[in-house]
Amino acid sequence: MIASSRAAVLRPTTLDPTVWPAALAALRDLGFDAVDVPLVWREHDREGEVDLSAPRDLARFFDLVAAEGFRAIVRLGPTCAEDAPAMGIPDRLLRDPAVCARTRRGNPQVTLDGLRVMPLPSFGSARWREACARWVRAAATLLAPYAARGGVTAVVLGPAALLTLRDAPDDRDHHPDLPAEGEDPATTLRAYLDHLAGAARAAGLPHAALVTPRAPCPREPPHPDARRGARGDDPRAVAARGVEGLWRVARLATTLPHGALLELHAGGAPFAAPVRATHALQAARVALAAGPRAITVAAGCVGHRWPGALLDEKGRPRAHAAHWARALAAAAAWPAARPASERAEVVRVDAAVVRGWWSAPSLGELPRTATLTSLAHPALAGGDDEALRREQALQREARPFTVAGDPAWCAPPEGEWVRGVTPQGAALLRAVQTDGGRCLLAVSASEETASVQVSGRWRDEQGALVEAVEVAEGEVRVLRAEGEG
Amino acid sequence: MIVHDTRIEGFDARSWHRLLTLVVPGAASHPPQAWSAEGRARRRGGVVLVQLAASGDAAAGAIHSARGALPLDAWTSPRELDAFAQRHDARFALALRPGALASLYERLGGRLTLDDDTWTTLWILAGAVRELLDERALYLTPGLPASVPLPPASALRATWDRALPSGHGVLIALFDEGRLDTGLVAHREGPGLTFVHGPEVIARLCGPLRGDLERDHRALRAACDAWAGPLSLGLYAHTEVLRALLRNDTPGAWTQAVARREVIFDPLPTWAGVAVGADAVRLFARNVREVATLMEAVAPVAVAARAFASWMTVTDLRSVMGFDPLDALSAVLRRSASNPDDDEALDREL
Repeated sequence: MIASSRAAVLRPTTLDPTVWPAALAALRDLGFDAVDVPLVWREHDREGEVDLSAPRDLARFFDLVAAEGFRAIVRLGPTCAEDAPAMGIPDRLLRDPAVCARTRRGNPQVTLDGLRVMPLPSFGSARWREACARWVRAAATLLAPYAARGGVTAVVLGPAALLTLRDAPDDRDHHPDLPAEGEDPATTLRAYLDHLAGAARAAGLPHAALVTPRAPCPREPPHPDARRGARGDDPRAVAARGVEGLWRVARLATTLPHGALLELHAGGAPFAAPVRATHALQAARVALAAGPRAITVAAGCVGHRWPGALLDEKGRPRAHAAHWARALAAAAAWPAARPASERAEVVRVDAAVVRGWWSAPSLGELPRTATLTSLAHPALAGGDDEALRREQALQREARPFTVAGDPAWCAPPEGEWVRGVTPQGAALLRAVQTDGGRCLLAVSASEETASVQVSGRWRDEQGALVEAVEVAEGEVRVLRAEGEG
Repeated sequence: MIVHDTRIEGFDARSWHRLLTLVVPGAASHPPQAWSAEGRARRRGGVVLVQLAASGDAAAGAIHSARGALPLDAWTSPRELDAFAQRHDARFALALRPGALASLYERLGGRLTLDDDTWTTLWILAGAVRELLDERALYLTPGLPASVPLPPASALRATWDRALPSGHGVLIALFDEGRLDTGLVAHREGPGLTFVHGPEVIARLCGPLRGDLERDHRALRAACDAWAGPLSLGLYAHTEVLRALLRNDTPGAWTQAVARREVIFDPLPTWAGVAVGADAVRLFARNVREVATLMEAVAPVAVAARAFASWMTVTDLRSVMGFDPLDALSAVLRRSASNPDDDEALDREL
């Protein structure tokens, strides 16, 4: 599990090494306590050999990170940075016919890469898997000592971008290394990720530090309607964004036991739609109000190829970074994330206030009193008035209940909604009985969607571990499942 | 042309957004609230995607990139796609037969290699799309000009070489309220750009500016000539003037803006001079055509008059490219109903 963190992406290879100390110091001043470091494979590939001392000495970089007191979350990919060309994959592999995923007619499966087209690697290709394992082993060897000392708290394996490219029915891979009758893509993916994790463990990385995202990508859980296909009366099938979508994703990030990283954006990659600083900040405020345990701001400082980063190429904060600092300070004022077995608190429910918050004309003009935001993040809303103090007093005096144990780990009154502060954030809570067992629902502030807090382990009828489900109209649907114990 | 090792530096979120939305207004940023049901209903622009039945005119479903699923009661046939898109305030629309997208990717996968440059990629992509259009597997609006042959990749590459020769730079500096608003300075070496630097870098190179277009452009050119030079093109204007010009299809608009020093070219490459000159010629031609039309009605020289008028319209990029890229850009931008900088004041607060 990834510990609570406020991380900023910092790509060491895009910065001059003389800028590293200034950039790290600036990020710390902004309120970050961790750096999220994508290591781009193609930048360290020397005709099949991995060289982590060039073009930048990564050992020195991680020494600096440790000296500054930062924790590091390292993404090994193999595809891990939006702004890296060819998804970070070395060209020599993309030219290898044995690596490419195949269409039904045997042509390479392709995708856009900026202004050109690149072939996609096949998760089933033996040569691709072996090449990936070599990369992961080399990087894990470098990282293992830092992980042992606690400087590297998580190593994320897995191809977040590639997952989303294989959703369409026509995208099934026909690579010759896969069974001729076809294989369930999820099975192929799981075997591939297990292969990467095995390589990392063999190089000395502790199992606890490894994070392998499961499909779908934790950054963008699909709306249930999107999973079923577009439905005539629900535009959220393609537009599950905005306040509601952000809130749902952020809430989900508070509930996943494996520690999903909630990614917020400052700026964007050059081929993505540009984002205003104001809008990025509004989105961040909504997400922070949901109380995610671990956030990553992409990007804190990535040198070139990321217009709008918080720091410029010299490691100096840009003007809008000060606003992020205030929001992060509010998030830091939250109580540290506690294990799900600890106690939560019940506070007063006021649905009208919650609805009022959502109808606020601008997130910059949020009402300061008695809102979900002020309950969760007093400093975020900036209010210290009487109403807020009353709310806080209510919280202190409220009857506590225990969120612990399995299967009876949640104990609010059955069938009754209560306003609660879970270990990770504020929510409306309700205990329900599902086919898979007793669950605690943590409802989003819009009161239209809900996520289920499954901080304990809970198995469905097939014995698969369920991490979160979504609720609508009294129906509980599995939103995400992890296949192993 | 941005390639793998192009360094893009010196843009904050605001200057990048201002620059890109000049030519891609549909990519403008929206606040989270804009994705509420109410906000989506108000949104104009975007793309409509229609899934057609395997044969015939029927549609199986339609979806709007901002508004979501659309009712099909107004759907008639793929030939009326443009009307359907306009009914839903969409700027672009495409209708697909089942399997069309897979077929497109099959063709791209079979024809493209990793070594193909951007021009070849665009040419092959456009060719594959046109094949699908011809096969009635795909319908687009606005459509590709059907009767005009696609310019070959070599022509596109030659145009790029002429626009910005290798070893040269380009500077675009746009002002607003007496300060450098957005812009770029870029340098090309080989097939692609080596760097694209934004206002932060330009400001560092030039130092304080007076906010006077006439005077500042000299300082800007001197500084950027040394940094990215020699410059092949320098364009200096106020952002809103350029935004309006890009959407203006009135013949002579560019020429008049240059004459009034609202837009300054320094240096002015030959191709840009020809383009501005051609714009003047278009203005002249329009006036002449009006006279010629009168002549046609009143004189026995109709044939000669018509030939003269048509000759006057082809003395610009159209004769080289098969279509006029500025006209095409202008036509697309005019379909943009909204100004992406309506809430520009928000960013100023940051």
